Formats: sequence, C-alpha cells, structure tokens
Amino acid sequence: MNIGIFSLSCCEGCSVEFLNMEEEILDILNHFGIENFRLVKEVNKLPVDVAFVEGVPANENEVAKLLEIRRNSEILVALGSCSATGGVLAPGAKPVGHYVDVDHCLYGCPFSRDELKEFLTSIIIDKAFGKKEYSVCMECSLLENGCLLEEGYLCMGPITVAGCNALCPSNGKPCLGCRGSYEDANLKSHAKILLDKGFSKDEIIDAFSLFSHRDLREVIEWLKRR
Amino acid sequence: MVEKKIEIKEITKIEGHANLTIEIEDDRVKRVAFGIHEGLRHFETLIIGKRYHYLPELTSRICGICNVAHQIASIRAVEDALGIEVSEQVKDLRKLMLISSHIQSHILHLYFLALPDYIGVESAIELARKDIKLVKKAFKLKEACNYMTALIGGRAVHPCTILPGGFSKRITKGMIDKYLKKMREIYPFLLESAELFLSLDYPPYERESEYVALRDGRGIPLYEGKIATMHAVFDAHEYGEHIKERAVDYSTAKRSLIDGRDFMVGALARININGKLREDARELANRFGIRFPSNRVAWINPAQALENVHYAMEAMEIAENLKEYEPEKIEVPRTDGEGVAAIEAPRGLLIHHYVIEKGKCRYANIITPTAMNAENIERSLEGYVSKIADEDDGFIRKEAEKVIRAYDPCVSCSVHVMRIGKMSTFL
Repeated sequence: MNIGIFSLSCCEGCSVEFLNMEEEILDILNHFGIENFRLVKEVNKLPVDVAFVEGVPANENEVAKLLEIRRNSEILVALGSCSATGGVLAPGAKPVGHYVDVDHCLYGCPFSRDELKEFLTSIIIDKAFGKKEYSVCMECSLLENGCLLEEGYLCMGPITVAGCNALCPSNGKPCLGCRGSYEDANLKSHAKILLDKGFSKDEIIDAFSLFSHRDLREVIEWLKRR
Repeated sequence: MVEKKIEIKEITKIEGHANLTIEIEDDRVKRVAFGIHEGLRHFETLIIGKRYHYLPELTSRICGICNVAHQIASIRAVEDALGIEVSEQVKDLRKLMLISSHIQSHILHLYFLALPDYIGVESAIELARKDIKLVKKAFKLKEACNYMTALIGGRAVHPCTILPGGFSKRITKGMIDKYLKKMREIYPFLLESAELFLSLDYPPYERESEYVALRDGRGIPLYEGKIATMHAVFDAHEYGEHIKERAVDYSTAKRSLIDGRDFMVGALARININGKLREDARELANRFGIRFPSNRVAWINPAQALENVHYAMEAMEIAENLKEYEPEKIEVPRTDGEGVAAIEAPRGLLIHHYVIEKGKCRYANIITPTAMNAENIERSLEGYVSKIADEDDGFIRKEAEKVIRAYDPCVSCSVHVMRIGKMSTFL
C-alpha cells in the first residue's frame, strides 16, 4: 500500500511530527510505500491508497489540489487540527471536510503519534478505527493528575476529545481544546460551570474560540447572547 | 537570440510552497523570481484581541519547525510589554529548549533536505535503501533533540509549558540531568556529522552580502542580544527604523531590506557577525579550511553543522550548572504596554512586536527569517545563475535548487501575514 503526506496552508508541524516518528518511519516503510511527501521528496506521485492531508485550503489552487488528492486516494485522512476542525485558522478558513469527503480525522495540534500508529495498524490488520467517545478530562483523571479546573484554571479538558493522553494538563497547563470537542460533550454545561467558577463571558469566549471555533460556534453565540 | 526559461512550479524539500522562474537570454540572466504561492494565513485576525498568555500558543502555530523560537520570541515580547521579570534560571531553561530545537531543525535540514542534492538521490527515503546506517543516525539525532526539548517543553512540536516569567511545571534536577546525559551521548555524532557536512562539494558561488544577527559580545547568542549588521549595532526596539518590509507581485510573502539593502540571516550570518565559535567547532572549521567571515552562500550548510557542535557545548555548560525549577506565582506589573523581542530562530533573526492593552493584543508585527532572506536568496540566484548561464538547463536547475535549499527557507513562517499597520508611537 502507498501513502502520501500532503500539505495545504498551515505550519507544517504535522509533516514535521510525521518525520518525528523517526525510526518508526522505517518500520512504516515495511508496510507502506511513501509516494508523496513534498517536505522530503523530490519525486511525488498520485494516486495513493491513503492520503494524509494537513492544513486548510487557503486559495483556489489549494482547493483544486485537495480535490485532485481526493480523486486519487482510497482513504483520505485529515491530519491534525487545521485539517480536521479548522484549528487556530478556523475563524477564516474551513476544514478539509467542508470541501471533500473525509474518511478519518486525526485530531490535535499537532496530531498524536500514538493515534497515528493506532490508525496505521488498523489499516494493516483491517480493523475499524473511530473517534474516541470520551474526553481529555477522562484521560487526565486516569493519570491521577490534580484537577486544574478545581485549582482555578480555565481548562477545556471536560469537552475535548481524548487521544492526547492529557498532555498539556499533565505538564501543568490547562487543556486548550486543540483536538475539538467529542461527540457527546455538553458544551453549554461546561460554559455554565466556567461562569459559576467566576470566569468572565469574554474570557470563556476567548478560550472557546482559540481552536476549533467552528465546532463551538453555537455555544459561543449562546454565550454572546447571555 | 536564444531565450530559455527554467521553471520549478513546486520546489521540493523545503518547508512550505515556493516556486522559481529563471529567464535567460543569450546566456545572460534576464529575470530570476523566487515566488511563494502558499496561501496566506491571516494570523492578525487570530491574535488581535487575544489575551496575552495565548499569544505564544497561537504564534507557535506559525511554524511547525521553529515553533520553539516563535514561542520564546512571543513570550519575551509579552514580558517586555508588561514588565514581567524573568530569572536567569528561567532564561537558561529556555536556552536549553532553544538549543535542542535548533539542532533538531539543522539536522532535519542537513540530512533530509540538503544532503540528497550532494549524493545524488531524490530523498532520504531513497537514501535509506542505500545507506540505512546513515539515515538511522540522522533519525537518532533528531529523536534525541526532540526528547531533550520535550523534557522541558512537554512535547517537541508546539511545546506546552512556557508561561510568562516561567514554566507551568516543575523541572527537576533529574530532567536536567537527562537532558545533559542525552546531549553528551549525541555529541560525538554531532562532531561526526559536522565532518560529513564540512567535506561535501558545495557550489563555489560567493557574494558579498550584508549579514545580520544578534550580538552580545560574549558568544553567538540565540536568546537575546543587540541586532548587529556588518556596519551597525542597534537595540531590538529600534528595528522599525532599520528593517523595512515591502511586497512584490509574484509572491504572497513580504520582503525585508535593512537600511535599504538586501541581507542574510541564519547560521552563516551568525558566525560571520560574531566569530567566537567554541573550541571544538573552531578546530573542525580550521581542519577543513573553512574561514569566517565567508561570502560563500552554500557554506550555510557547514555553518549549521558547526553550530550544532557549538551550541551542544553551550547547552552542556548550561545544564551542568542548572538547579531544579519550581513553578511560582508570576507577578504581572501592568496590563498595558508595548514590547519587542529579537531572537535567533534556526533560520535566523526573528522579531515579535506587540502592543497590549487591558491584557489583550492590539497590534502585532512579526518579521520572520525567511521574509528577511527572500530578497537575498533572489540576488544570490541571479548572481550564481549569471555565472553558469551557458550550462544546460538541468545543471542550472540543480544548482539553483542547491542555493535555495542552503538558505533552508521556511515558507510557512513567511506567509503568516501579520498586520503591517500604523506603528504606535510610544516606543
């Protein structure tokens, strides 16, 4: 099977993170041929079986490029926050799923390497791969970290989709919500809890719109009306 | 009249999307255009109005390679604006992060982007089939650097522990020792890779440039210093008087001139401006007959390899003397102010400038190394291609790509598009 790593407008941190898998890449090469990876390859080809797309289309050429990738790939994976949810670029840009069908999303800014390995393994052994149905908060509790929300920090952990193993809270920084919200997240109730804890409406809107603005648009509008 | 046109629609093995057009008429160069066609990412709409503590998080996303440099430049500009004190210990920890990410970036560039040109393969992936040992070594170095950055920063891409005045977590003596141990472990490989990159056959082209880098009179600073050119030294706060940006119609990225001239930033500029390579690096340069200051453009590559040795020595020295860091409550003396920070990213000088009002960003200007280098890249290409204009297209193309890659351009950085608005006057 062949894979391609494609880059639209973004910081290319996900391409770099892909390369950061270091020696594991050499293992990946035992199962997949890398046919397209502009950051490190001169000869880049289509079609590919699995296309990983990072970034968002920021102009007509990039939309055309995305459509071409979609036409020439069996499976299209939105790689990282920008591609999956719009990420920090969300206020002005639309995620890849707005333009083409996306088969899978790997969330996070950057994506989680463990999750990518999980995904590649699922392809090799032909097993289903799906979005986690629980929150970063859950992962954080399992690690028995102290609760930053209780310590007075504005943490997005309770509504953010798991998969990063609560990296930021484990490092003492509240979750910024870079992965977007999970399916059953109760967004309004989280906003209410934050208001009860004494955060201003403005502070909460600021935090909710840092990443994945689109995902949270409704609750931001609701907050603004309050 | 014989006309030819060499076009590279998508230059590979650089960070981001750029193209090159060379027009030659009767063996003379008529036009060279290094264009950037990556979409603009409107960071100004993202960070204007945002709270100051989010600025490092957001601007980190300008670049996936030099995000540590962006985060640290951003936090320093915030601290400058709001008068936040930073201890020497915090500075040292930040320096350690800068150094490990700096070496990581250089290794990525040298082995994965530049090296294929000099040994005749299309990519490191192809190289892995021929010389798996070499590629494994490069991956090991990268992995080690990422590990070191993550010890302090939580992760290597977009670290998550940097706060105004400090860090969000305790950084134990054990972590510092692990950093030191890892740096000692890779040091022989950094020497070895310097030997490799000092011995390659680089394009001979030389061009006298203006070089610009930080200077502190003691070493080759990454974290802070005055901005020095070959002719002047000035404080970072005065950057606006010297560095002017302009737009060209074939590129989405802005161009910079310093005092009216194109200029070079990055590893070669840093060594040219400062000299002062540490012993082992100096000894290597001497052994391979490389002298600084040098105008040989492609020597950016060996300059990077020497920097790896230089900064690894510096990091070991810092780590040996560092004590455990305990997070503490940070005093933020004011909520309004204007701040500028100039630091050295792997590709060269990086400036972050903010105006903060009521704790929120009201104005931002960020000038990235590739925006500074863009004009210089084009002038060097013009100069070099003029000398080889009578060669065949394939050769010209290859050599032009070598020159572009030597600069290690980072296109993502250059198209972040901060608002270039009216400067506020209270600087």
